[in-house]
Amino acid sequence: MELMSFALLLLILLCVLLGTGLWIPMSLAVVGYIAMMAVHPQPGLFLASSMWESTGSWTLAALPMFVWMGEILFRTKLSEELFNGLSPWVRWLPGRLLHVNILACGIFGSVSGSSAATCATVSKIALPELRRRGYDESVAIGSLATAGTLGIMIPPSIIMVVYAVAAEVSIVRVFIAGMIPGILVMVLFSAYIAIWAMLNPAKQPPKEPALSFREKMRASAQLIPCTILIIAVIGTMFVGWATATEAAGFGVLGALVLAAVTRTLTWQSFKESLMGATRLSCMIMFILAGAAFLTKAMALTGIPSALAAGVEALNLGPFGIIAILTVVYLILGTALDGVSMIVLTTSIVVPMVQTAGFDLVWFGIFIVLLVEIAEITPPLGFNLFVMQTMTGKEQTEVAWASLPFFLMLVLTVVLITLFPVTLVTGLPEWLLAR
Amino acid sequence: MAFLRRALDGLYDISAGLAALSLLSIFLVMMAQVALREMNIQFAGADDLSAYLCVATTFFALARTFKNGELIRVGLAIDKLAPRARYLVEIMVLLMAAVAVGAIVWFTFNDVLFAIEIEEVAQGTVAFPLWIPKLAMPIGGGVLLIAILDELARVLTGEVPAYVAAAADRAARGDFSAEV
Repeated sequence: MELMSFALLLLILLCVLLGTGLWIPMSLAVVGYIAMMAVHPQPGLFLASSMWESTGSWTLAALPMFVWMGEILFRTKLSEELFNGLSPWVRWLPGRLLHVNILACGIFGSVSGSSAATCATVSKIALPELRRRGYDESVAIGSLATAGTLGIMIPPSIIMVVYAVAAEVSIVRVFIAGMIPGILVMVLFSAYIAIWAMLNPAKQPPKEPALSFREKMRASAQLIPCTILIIAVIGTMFVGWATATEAAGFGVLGALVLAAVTRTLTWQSFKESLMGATRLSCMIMFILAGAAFLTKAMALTGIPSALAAGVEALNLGPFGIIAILTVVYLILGTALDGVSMIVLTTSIVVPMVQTAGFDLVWFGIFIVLLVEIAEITPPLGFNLFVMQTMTGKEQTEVAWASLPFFLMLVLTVVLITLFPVTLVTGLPEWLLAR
Repeated sequence: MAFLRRALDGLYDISAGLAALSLLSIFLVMMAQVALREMNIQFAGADDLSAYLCVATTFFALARTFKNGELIRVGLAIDKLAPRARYLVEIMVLLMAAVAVGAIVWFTFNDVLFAIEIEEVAQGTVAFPLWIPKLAMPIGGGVLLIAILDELARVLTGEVPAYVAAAADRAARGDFSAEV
């Protein structure tokens, strides 16, 4: 039991360090160092090797490449074109242009891999348009805040790369596994909008004029090259032609060509995209470095395996463990960002999950969904904060508007737990077995 | 003072520039590898090279990322403190950060010395001497340490930390590109 009280002490220390505002990677390293002091005469010995090995890996090179690809496409006209390009196609659905929010976030999400940026970029265009046409503001805000989180669900996703690297599973496998749940989330969001629209006909704005097919195509013509690029990047990975790292490199090349062709590539935008990608990659990889040292220290103390054995002895059954982890992540999500949530817990939770018989790829999707939920949970849901800034409304109001969509995400968690093979692990098995 | 300010900011920018060049080089190495493969030439050591460039991207960019307020921390509690308490907590946190980063610099520097001593080389197709890419860790970490001490001096003289100001500025502009 002494080990468990030591573990508790470390946890309290970590909370104190994080709470005072010490930067996350440094907090992780400090706790790692103290944990290491208990088991090793030279605690610093593993510090350099952990940081070197965790940041210096060819697999991890996919991360800065995907980040850069997003930064380049972010600076093209894509975000402006999304609304006009998609809106002609959804007018026949109940709820009409509100579905654009979901689709635009899904497409932009596959480009950017960042939830807050997706939310902010799509909202900037969509909100004023929807308001002008008289759509219900509450549903518009809720759908945008929540659909923005698709950025981390639809591949290529930066959060998924972080998880795959931290948990040592194949990046491509996690990407493929995220496809069906990602589409499921989009369908559920759209279904909610459609049902809400049918139940509240009074809140619907006047109909937009119908467009011919030719007009529709013209409106969305500029979306086509970008869509092809996304499909190419995802597709080459999925059929096994390219590794995630290579696909990411080609993604950058494609994004540069696309930006050049659409005349949005200037020396200034190139430099800005490169510097932005450098800083964002640095932030994430430094967290990975700090977490790697903590993970090493944890493994040497034996806390994770003791914890896994302890949980197994409780006989909770797989669903019990998942229910507990869901609650733990929801609490963590109120204070931590997605990257930290993932790297911090993989060092402790992964042995537990494996002992309980869960597939690590499945667990990656589960954890990504919970990060999505965390982004829209007060008091520190980052997407709520983004919407607050964009609309000038109170956080509670944004949170209430997001609640129905929040419930759809929870429903997705339940569904993937009940049908893990059909919804998550089946597709990568099938695709990669060929 | 103005000269020192310019020199320090220049140092962070040069370091960040090196990081950006490293990121660009990952891309160039990857493309060269593919192009050479088409011509049936193997680019020996390309995978290791990308890995080293990844380390360089991370460590050289640290100071600039820190200054810009893009290294994440949990601001929940500290944002709610009264100015006086906040001032003290900020100093304490910067001191802790300086110790932590100082330790990182110390241990990674020793690792470099050790790599030179045992003439450690890469296990891949090309036997790169590892102390060269490993140098990115103590150097980048060292520049970060300077940036932390720089901020400490600013806070002590009653200025708002640059990382707080930069983050507030981004939020005011509605720029959320620094978040995942």
